[in-house]
Amino acid sequence: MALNDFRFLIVFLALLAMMFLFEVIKRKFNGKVISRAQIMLLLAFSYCFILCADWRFCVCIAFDTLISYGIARIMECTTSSGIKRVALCAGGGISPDT
Amino acid sequence: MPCVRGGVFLLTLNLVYFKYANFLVESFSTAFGLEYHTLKIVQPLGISFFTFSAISYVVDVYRGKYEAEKNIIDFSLYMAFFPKITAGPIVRWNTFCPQVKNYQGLSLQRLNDGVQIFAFGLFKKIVLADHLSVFVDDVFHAPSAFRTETVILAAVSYSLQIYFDFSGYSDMAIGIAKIVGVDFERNFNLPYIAAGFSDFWKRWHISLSEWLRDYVYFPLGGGRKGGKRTYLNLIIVMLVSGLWHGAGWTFLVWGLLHGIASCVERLAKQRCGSLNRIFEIVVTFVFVTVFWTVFKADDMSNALEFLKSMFTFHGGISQPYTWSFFAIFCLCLETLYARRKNKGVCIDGVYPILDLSRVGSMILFFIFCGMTLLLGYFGNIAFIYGRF
Repeated sequence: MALNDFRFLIVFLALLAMMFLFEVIKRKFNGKVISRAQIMLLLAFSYCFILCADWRFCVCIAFDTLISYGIARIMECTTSSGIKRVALCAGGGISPDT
Repeated sequence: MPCVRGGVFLLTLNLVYFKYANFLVESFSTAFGLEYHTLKIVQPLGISFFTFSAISYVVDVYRGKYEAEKNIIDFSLYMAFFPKITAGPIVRWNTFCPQVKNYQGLSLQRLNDGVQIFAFGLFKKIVLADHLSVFVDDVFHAPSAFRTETVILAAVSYSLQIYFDFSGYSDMAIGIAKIVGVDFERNFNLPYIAAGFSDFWKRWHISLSEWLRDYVYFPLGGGRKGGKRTYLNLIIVMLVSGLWHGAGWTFLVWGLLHGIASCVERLAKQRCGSLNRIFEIVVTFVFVTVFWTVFKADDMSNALEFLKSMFTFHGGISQPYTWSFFAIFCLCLETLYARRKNKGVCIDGVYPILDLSRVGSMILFFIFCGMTLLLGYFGNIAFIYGRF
């Protein structure tokens, strides 16, 4: 499914309808909670979009997400520059002189 | 502190396996005369784009540009956000994060702008790029069967096709993201009026050029380590750019040609200074077009056959393809519009946005959409950059 695919147009309209529904609810209730719900809806839709191409792609992107998320958290938590550099290399990063 | 150079580790290993494994197996086997079997690997959708997004995030956290994200939902959306997953743009975390943290949601103004940006992108893709693809594919399949003029027209048409295809996709992605409440920056800025190769790369696939500048060129030393090293860095960056586009010798050669051209341009500007701007634009377009033919070719023999047909006069089928001239007209119109809108400065930073709350504008927009669907070619839905 691509952005110029007719099937995409249909599912995107469905997403818009749900997002619009959230917008209506947002005006009546806690806006921040509903905004979080909209973010989660966008994330779910994004994974469904990838799923339409091939379910294995979801695994691949989830793997990359977890790796980069985890590495960044490790780098932030540690004070050791050695561990930071190892973590960066594990992420495949290219760094300047540090 | 020692330099820390990137290696093939977890993130890039993922990219290398899915994108380059077959290319590496084939190249080594051919070089050493070994038998080989291609691996059955399906390349994940947009792997080059999301891997580069991930690398930029990890490196920026390491450099202390921003803190690591604690919310996995927000970070997952950054990685998998559907408008950019197929063919970018490569969005940085520091532009995406504030928009998610302070999510504004839908609005009529966003819908008004986003729908129109999407429609312009769709026009570029299905009316211009896809019609051009029919002619371009025919000529590239057997270039020696066509007259020289037709082969040259096909080369120019491919330059236009790849621009309209990719900038069309970028516009569609920007439009859709805008509708759902996220702003992306422009990925193109009238690349075919670039006066030189460095200017071209500031206007073509801007998000990739900036990525390569920040995470490859600058770490290598950029232009700070003397003349020879600067030239070497330019060539390395363009080779990486070529490899990023695809696993094949044609992409590597394309990158190398751009690298050499950038070095020659830098050298010429140091010796002779700037020349006439129109002359520079024409020369840049000619070279970029010739380089695109290598990019487009199935393999090096196809590329050489096409270049031979392009530069030697011979007879054959003559095909003055009307859509090519229409695409050239649209490109000129786009440039003139941008020039007028920006008061003489050619910056393609403004879309011709109408106020759809007015009846006249709404009718005009529906006519435009109707014409797009009427003139559109629906035989080719794949995007060129979707393969990368």
